[in-house]
Amino acid sequence: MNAHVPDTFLTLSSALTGFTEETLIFAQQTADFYAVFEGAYGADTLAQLMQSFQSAVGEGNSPQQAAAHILDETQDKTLAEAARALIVFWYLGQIKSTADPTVLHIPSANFFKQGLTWRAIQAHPPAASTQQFGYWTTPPAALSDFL
Amino acid sequence: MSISRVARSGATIGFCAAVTLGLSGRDGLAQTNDVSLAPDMPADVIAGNPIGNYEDYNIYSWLSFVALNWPVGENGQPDVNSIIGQNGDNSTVWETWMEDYQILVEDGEVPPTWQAPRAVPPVCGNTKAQSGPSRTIRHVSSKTGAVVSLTNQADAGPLIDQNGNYVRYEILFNEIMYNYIVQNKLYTLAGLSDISEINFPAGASPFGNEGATEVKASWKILGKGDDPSRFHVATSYVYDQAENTCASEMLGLVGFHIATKTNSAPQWIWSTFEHIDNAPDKGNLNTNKHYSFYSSGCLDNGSTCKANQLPEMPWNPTQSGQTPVQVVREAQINGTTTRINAHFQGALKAVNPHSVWGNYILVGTQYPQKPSDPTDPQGRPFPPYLANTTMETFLQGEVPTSSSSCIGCHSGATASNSGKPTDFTFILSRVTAKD
Repeated sequence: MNAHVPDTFLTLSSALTGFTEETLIFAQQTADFYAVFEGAYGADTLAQLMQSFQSAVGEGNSPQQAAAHILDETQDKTLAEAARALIVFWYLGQIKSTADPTVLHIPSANFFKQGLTWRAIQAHPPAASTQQFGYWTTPPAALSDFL
Repeated sequence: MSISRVARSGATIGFCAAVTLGLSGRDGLAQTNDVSLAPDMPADVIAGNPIGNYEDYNIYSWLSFVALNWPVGENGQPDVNSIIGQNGDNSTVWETWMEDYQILVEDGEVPPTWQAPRAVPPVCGNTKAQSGPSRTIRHVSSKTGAVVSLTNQADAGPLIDQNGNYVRYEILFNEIMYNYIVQNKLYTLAGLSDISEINFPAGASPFGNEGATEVKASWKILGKGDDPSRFHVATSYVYDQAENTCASEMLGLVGFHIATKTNSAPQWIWSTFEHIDNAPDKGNLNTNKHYSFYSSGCLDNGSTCKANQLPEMPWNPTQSGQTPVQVVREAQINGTTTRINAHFQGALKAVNPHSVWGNYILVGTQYPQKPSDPTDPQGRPFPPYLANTTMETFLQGEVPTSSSSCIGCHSGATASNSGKPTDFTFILSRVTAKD
């Protein structure tokens, strides 16, 4: 169980990933994406990401437009790279190691299980299904249900 | 704090009203500060936001614990003229319920009627009773291949207390669950095959006025170093089916699971309680307090004594030199839960400072946050993991699919003769009678 995370982190992450905040909250409850990302990229970078996002939204941009603005390397390359790393982290559970920043790693099995990539393909991680016996005889839920 | 969102069934004693904590109650209720102690089971939790409110679920758990442990009157109903713990300890409502082994009959047999006296094994008749044992705890289940037996934990081995004795387990269920099983003949393989879907009542139904409820209790033999006045106690026959021996023992309740199916929670609401003397938190091991399942001196010995490790097996309580299980709580109890524990423990101690019920704590409540999520039949349980140190000792932690999750584990329960889901109970996974 993880501590409360800032709403802006979830709003930003939702805009970057295309998944709803509710889905991200469920993932965050099991795997602390917020704290691990902060540990890997620093509190300053994370605060800057959230502030840039909030500023862009405050100027009248939609969350998607604000996310696109952050991902524009011509604006701030460092910030854009951090935003891309956050997308990868949410989708794959993979992030640079604090011990060796040149190495990518998955902090725990919970990050692997909660990675959004499984939901994006309407599936589940190997050996970690929440489905009941015989689920394979019925079609998966609609993609919109996974978002 | 308010429980106005917790609807009460009133089915048990004909009381039907939403009770707000701290407001005036009725005769038979103990009012202390802002907590009401009442003998009726809460019916459900009405989610206060899209994914529920953990505080509400923890209050629901405590209300259930109080109701189930209310002094029992006639016919297994709560005695509304008594208050829980007014005499320190009391016999309880749930202890009159049916046990799993009573429904797991042999081929051609039918389960006994509701609350029929439990059959005492013949060998126990030769035992000199201490003061008229009220229960019979069986050492070995005759049903093999079970997820849990009466000394083994779910998907794991036995727990051995600091006196070297096995912890014993019981599984019981309420009359609604009993009626559903019996009327659908789910105690037979034929009945399990005939029913199209096993779907226990979640509220008022032809089977009764409440939802199905199942409880699991863990007991230890009270012995050296234990203070019986701190425990809910049952004098019991402890029957070893394999050896055909029987002893009369004083048992203390050390763990208690409650699982109730409600309209808002088709994946059931799972509450788990423990005695406060069970084991220390992982971050607080330097203590001289007496624990039932932990000795600081043992862990000081190094590699021969590790926390939460299975004991030597086969365990022989009569053999000296063996190391009991050293239990440590891996995850600290959530702050919200701790606060609600203090409220209810205070209310129970206000009734009687020596109430044994004030010596129990809620470890947590697991509930489905999104019960009808088409992508997850488990309903996105929260918290993701939950373990009782006496019942999931060896499955504590946060590792997907192997660490303890009530809903995660029980969602895989299937009938003993097919892959048909049994609606979160493993009792029907042990049926062997043909018809």
